[in-house]
Amino acid sequence: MIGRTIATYGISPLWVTLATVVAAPAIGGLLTGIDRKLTARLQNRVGPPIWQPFHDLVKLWSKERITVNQVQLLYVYAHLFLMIASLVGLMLGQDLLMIFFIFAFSSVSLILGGFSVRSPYSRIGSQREIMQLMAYEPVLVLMAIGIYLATGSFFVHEIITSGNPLLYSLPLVFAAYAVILVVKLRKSPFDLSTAVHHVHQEVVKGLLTEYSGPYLGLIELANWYELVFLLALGGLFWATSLWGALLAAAVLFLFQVVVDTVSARVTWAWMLKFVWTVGLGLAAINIVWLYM
Amino acid sequence: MDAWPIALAILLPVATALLAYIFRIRAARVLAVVVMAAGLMVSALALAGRGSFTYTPESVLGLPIDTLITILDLALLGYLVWIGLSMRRLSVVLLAGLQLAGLGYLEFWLRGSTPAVLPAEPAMVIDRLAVTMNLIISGVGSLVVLFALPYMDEFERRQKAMKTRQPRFFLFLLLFLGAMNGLVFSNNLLWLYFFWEATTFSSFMLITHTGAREALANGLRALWMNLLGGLAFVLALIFLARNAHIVSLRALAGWPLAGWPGWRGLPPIGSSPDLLLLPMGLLCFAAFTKAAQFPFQTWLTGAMVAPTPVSALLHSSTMVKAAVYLIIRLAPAFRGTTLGILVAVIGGFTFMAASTTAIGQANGKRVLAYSTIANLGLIIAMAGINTPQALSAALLIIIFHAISKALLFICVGTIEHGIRTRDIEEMEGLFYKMPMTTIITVVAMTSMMLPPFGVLIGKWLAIEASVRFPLLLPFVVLGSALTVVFWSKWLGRILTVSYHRKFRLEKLPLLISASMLVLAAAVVVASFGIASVFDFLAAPVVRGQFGIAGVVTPRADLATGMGEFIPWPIFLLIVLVLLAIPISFSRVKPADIRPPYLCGENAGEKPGTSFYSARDEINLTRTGNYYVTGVFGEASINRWAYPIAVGLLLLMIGVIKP
Repeated sequence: MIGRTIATYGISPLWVTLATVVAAPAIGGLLTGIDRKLTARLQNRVGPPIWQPFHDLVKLWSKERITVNQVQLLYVYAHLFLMIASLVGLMLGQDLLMIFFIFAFSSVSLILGGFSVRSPYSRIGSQREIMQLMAYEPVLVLMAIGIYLATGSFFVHEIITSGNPLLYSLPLVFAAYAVILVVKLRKSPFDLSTAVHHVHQEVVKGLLTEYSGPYLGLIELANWYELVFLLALGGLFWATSLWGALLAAAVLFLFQVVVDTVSARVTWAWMLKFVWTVGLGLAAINIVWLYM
Repeated sequence: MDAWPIALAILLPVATALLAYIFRIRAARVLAVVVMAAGLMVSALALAGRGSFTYTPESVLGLPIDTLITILDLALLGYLVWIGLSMRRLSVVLLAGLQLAGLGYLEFWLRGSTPAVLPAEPAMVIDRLAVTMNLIISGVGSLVVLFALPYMDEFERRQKAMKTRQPRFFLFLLLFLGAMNGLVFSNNLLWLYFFWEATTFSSFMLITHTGAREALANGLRALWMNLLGGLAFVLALIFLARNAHIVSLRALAGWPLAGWPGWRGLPPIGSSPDLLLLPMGLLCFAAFTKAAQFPFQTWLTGAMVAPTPVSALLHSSTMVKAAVYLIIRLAPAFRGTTLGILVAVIGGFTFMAASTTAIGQANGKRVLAYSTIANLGLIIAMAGINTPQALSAALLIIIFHAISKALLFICVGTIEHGIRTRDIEEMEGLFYKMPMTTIITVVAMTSMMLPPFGVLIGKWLAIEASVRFPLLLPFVVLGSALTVVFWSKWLGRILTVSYHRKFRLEKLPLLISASMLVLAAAVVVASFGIASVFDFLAAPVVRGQFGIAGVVTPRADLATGMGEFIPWPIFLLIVLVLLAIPISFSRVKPADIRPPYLCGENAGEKPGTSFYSARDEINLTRTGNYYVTGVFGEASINRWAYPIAVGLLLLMIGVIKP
């Protein structure tokens, strides 16, 4: 992947950063469009055109700027910038744990944005998002540790150049990652804090309720970066070849689309139990293998 | 004289304490404390500027110090027995009485009958670890004491106290600082023990300061738990003196200091490493009680009945830090032993259990208390596995936790006086009422859990250090994830704010805002310069033990060989976001503001608080945080945490019995 290209050809980190910042939203937006189309087909609908997410974004950005208070949009900036930073860190082959901490900061920023307004819906959404964070965060850290035990490094650029695909040694961690991917993308059955595409009545739009127009557009943009980040992370499991990485990412992508379509939402308590038993359990067992 | 900074660090707080107690005038007290704070900081910097050295003071005012310490120690224990008798608490009488007997046996019986001890060991060793601790005690501790000056005035106004008890309060608060400085300099174990007991005593007097029923009950609990640890300490001393003829910390731990071979190079008469496991284990047990590890956590959570400066001091720079300091000192001796692994697991378990419990707490001070217990657990876990990276992590967390936690207590104390509650649920809208305090609190909380701040970098290092220790790993992973949960919930609460055209900074007494701002600046600056902090304070300690630092600092970042943490890009992003604040405030016009969406039209003056429902009735909206006390409440956690914690302590007996 790109990380290896830098390692091999010595491309300046600045160019990698620029390329990531520019290319990621294009890919992320396109994937979001494909996601909506696929979901629609699975539900026997025609669905919007694949370019729809871009039209949506342009429209959101041309709308009036209205807010509930002055500080609300700071959290959006923090969320977006830190999300981009996580992705750039990944592309530059940095320390995986550090990348996950920056990623956590980005998620916390969005949560605080939901808390920052005196709206019951957005605050319930934030509470639930904290529960989602509690569910996936330990699995992410375990994943980094599993990758370290398999490759001997936390550096993404060394992980990529370390020989065998990670999937051989970390199949159960990959499965655990597939579970938390659904949680992190806020897809059904774990779309508790806010639904990405569907409409849920009881919390309106969850932690995004009080964002509108350009600010909502920025969050949408951050979501695209996030999607690319999460799929690239999945690609890490087969990073020895570009096609392998793309395949791993594609499998994860299709997996979350199908799961989203066929499942109904669960409560946060159920989610926590499921992720902490199945997700953590799978990852932990895989890590015990590596010690043996 | 060469040793003036040492004398200053120990005797200046003691002298100031006595002055503040005798001259009961407020102005004199303020002046004395400010002068003391300056003096302590000067002495700490002077010590930091020198290399490692040893020092054995012979006498003070013509009295041999050894004798003086023996007399004071016996008097202190006698007084504690008397406290137990007058409060009719059998456990205190017994535990203090047994210590008195043990100390008497040690001082009068053994001293005469033991042959000459090792090549004369110095009474005090000032190496970089002692300097680090001294900087924390004298720096952070002094700021807390300065904060206490205006705080206690307001506190007594609130309590409607008829007669001020501040002279008594500052007496013990300052004695505490002196005792802590003495503790970290002492190499002689008897001296160390005296200062150890002195901190137990001061903390008891401070917790019971108000004299209320709850304060007395919690103070007595703190006392008996710490005395239990003290008893273990005395037993360890007796064992060491009888069987190994060791009375110095350095000889026990083999702490390497240039030019001084440890006991591995020069075995004491009639001792073997295995023989030393028992006293090691006893000293670790003493440290567990003082560091409020499960199952002894209740004394620290109970200690919050004391005025806030006491908590700020107990949690950041004194008392609990003495415990982790002792374990770090002992760590080289039990490195790689089963005892070491067990210590790591006990600490790791506390880290996880305390972080879990913190999620269920709605009382701000209780959250802080559990967070402290958790971080102490992590430090102990790192000392237990004691690899170069682990030791680096432990030292970084000690330093950064001290600054952040002192700041957090100062903030919560100020908030409590501002809005008259420490309940997290009541802190909504704090951003409007106390913008400055809120922003500083946000900095402090962020620094406890998120990059690029020091505590998080310490946790990052801790995770990388524990990958080779599968028994410890799950605790560290779960504990770190749970930490984010309870801080985020609380942060969200204080950051909720409605639209106001103007925000007015609140007025705070000078010493309060000064101590807050200095500590907040210290958090940011030290985190930004974490590479320098590491190189200057932590690296020499690690290198002293291992020969290598374990962590290198190539370009103002921390690299371990398996990973690297680069703080500056994150700082850059945070600065970018902060730059947006003035833009955002000037750009958002009143016309852009809408009330939050409710289930009907907003009713009433404050947006988002009530709405017209379908039948035109006004309905109130109210949302609270998730606490899930059925899972995360103290009672639910203790059901499984107590048996496990007690079981782990019992396991320790099997490991250390000779």
